[in-house]
Amino acid sequence: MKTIRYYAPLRGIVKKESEATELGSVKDVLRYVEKAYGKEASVCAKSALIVINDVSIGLSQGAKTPLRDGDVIGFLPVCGGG
Amino acid sequence: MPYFITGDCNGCTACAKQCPVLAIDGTPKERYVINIRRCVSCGVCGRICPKGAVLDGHGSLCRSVPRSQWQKPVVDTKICSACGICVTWCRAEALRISLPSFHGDIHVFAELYEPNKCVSCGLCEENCPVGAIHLSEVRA
Amino acid sequence: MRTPVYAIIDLNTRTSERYEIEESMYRKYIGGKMLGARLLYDLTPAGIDPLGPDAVVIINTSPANGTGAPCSSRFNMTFKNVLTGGIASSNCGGQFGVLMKRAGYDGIILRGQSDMPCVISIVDKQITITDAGELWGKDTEETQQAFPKIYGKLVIGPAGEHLVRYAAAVSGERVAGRCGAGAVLGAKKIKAIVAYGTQRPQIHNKKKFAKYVSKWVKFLRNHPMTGEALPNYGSAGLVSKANATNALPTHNFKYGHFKDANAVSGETLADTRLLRNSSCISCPIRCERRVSVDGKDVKGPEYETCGFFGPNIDCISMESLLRLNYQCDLLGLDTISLASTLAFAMELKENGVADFDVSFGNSENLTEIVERIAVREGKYSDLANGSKWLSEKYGGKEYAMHSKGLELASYEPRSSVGMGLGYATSNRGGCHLNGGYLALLESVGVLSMNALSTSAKPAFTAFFQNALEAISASGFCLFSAQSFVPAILFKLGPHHRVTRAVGKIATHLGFGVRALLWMLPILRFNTVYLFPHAETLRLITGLPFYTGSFVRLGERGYNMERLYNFREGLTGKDDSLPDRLTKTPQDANNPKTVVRLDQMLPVYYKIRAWDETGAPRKRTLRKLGIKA
Repeated sequence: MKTIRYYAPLRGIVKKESEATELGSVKDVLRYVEKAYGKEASVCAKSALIVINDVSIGLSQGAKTPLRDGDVIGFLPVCGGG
Repeated sequence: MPYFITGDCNGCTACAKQCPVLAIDGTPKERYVINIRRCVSCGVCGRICPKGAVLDGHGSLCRSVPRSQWQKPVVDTKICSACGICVTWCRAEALRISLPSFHGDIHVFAELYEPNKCVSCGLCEENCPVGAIHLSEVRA
Repeated sequence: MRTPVYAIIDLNTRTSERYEIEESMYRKYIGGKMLGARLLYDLTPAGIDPLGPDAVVIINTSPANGTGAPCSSRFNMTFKNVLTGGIASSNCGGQFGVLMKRAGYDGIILRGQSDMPCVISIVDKQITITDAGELWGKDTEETQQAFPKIYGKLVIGPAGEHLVRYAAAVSGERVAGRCGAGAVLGAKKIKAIVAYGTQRPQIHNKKKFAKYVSKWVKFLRNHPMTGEALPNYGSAGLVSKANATNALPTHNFKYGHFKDANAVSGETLADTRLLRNSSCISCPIRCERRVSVDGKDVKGPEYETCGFFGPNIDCISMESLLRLNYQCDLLGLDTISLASTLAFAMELKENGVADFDVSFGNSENLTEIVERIAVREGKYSDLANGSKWLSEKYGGKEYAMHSKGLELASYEPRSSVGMGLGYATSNRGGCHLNGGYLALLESVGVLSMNALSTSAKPAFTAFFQNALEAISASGFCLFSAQSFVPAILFKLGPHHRVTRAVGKIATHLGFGVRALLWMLPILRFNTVYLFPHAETLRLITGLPFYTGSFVRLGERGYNMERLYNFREGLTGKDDSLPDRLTKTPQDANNPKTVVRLDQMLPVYYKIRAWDETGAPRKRTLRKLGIKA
């Protein structure tokens, strides 16, 4: 079992903080978000910083990155600072 | 041109307490003195003085004006960039930057938070870099 | 044109005299840290003790301060760096700079030492020095409350009084934190400097300036970074971004990722402890955090503080973080150098080398220990000297995480090698900002250049070091430069193929940026999409600042700082990083996760037109108009 964690602002759109899933890859989760929560949620999820166990998918295989049991996929708001 | 306090002053301290640039000093019950380097000719002392002891920059006697007739700053929120310069000039602490209405709210503006504290000095209007503040009559 | 007017204040005789900045010096160095570096070089001989009677401290402003332009509150302190022996410039967003200008001075130059603790008052161009009396010993909050609210204030706390080497100076609730700014004031026994006056700022073209300010404010408010991310999460929002790219220093920079980083992230802060956001004067970005500590509404932590009182010491307590941040403000301490020194001390204990009662994962006793460091009590006086000094006394140089003596910031450069080059070449020591802040383009921003590739990093580092230097010296906060990353990339997100493509192109654009640095004079235009600071400076001063000449201005300042460093005996050998970062891969399975300074430095020196030892060539200085 894997977990999807939602942060602001996506959290406000899907109206939950997290949920369990059995999906196998980032791509599958993105498809799921669109189907279950609509276009706005999908756009927000796609433009978020997507992390698996708090590490960016950009450091693995992007959207093709597989999800293994126990993994937590998170959608973080994009930002920066000093 | 700096304002001037005449010998009619009885040291009631009203002007010193309200001077927006802390330019008036003295010993209570004795004649107070305006620092001519600091005075910005805002006219607050003249409007407040109950004894008619203040001369303006041209030497004319200032008329006391009741508080209810003092003009107050109006902020045009379309222009105001919340730079806070007006707040740094306001000794009376009548102005503040409005509080954000939600986390991360950046649409805040200068606002006349405590209108009763405002002494109508006009320093906010004078120093606003974008011309967003204007003193106007307060409708009853 | 009105040129800057400074005052030289002699603390031995308690007198002052007017010092006018000559026009050509003003045109070349403008103000802030650049003019500060020039003056420090000219007014002091080589080899003085930063805390001694011959030390000079310059506190100065820039043309933009007090004009109400966006992000224009920042004033500067220039002095001989207590931690490195080279140049120090510490920047602060508090009210002091604006009020000092109103008092009639663009800068003050402090000489000598007062024999009794004193307060310097700058009011309507008159400077008086009086005894500090009971203020000496008080914390920064109590000290500031002793003066009228509308006065501008710059004060030190107990840490500065006790010459803690990384003591800070505080103005309002903002801090001139780094390099020992508080210690140099403490060494002169200056408890507080206050300023008040009514002089208005000089603006060359008032009407156009007002219009441009409105335009720039609108641009900042509509940009996803400056108008959403920063006000929402503050710089603290970076914790999760750095963690996501393995650039979050953990366990004294042993690792770059911390599994419980969420406990002290900007998102968690916003969700659980944030009262609201706030700002320095004149800032539409409003990234300051307001939090509640013991029922009091106080300033919250910046990113570096979150990282260093969190993952870098393996701590997960948000409560401790907020409390320690506030405590550092009260005592007047640099949170970065303090927390990094504590991490080093923790590793010394872990390795059985020395025991200062601090250990990884334990934040319970830190409040008490920080109090002791601030007053140099007993063995904690050692900790007050910083990690470089500690490593020279006890050993552990490979993991004393500083460069030139100034502790590195909270970006793990083995996952952001351009930042590593920046740390090593930063003039004031291991600083991410003076180092060019490439971390924004390699790891924590929306755009990602390949973090491990080295080819383009020297050119990018030089370019951004120059640009940030010019922005700082003009009086602006560096966050106002974050909007140069196009808004569209934020809407697409970091994983979108367009964003990734831009990142890929940038990774190989070293040639292009190098050419750009050559072609600067051609860039005779200004755009709000790149450096609005240049146009704003042009409208304020009437001087011809355009994108190209603005960056060139920064190049001059950068070289001036380096010249000072070399006069004080620093060399290219000091452009270094601890072995942990250059010899030990962050990822044991990937030998590329080290900072290849050996590869990047020679290229960087060439781009900067310095010789192979890293010294600015005479030809380069001449071209930039710097008299050695």
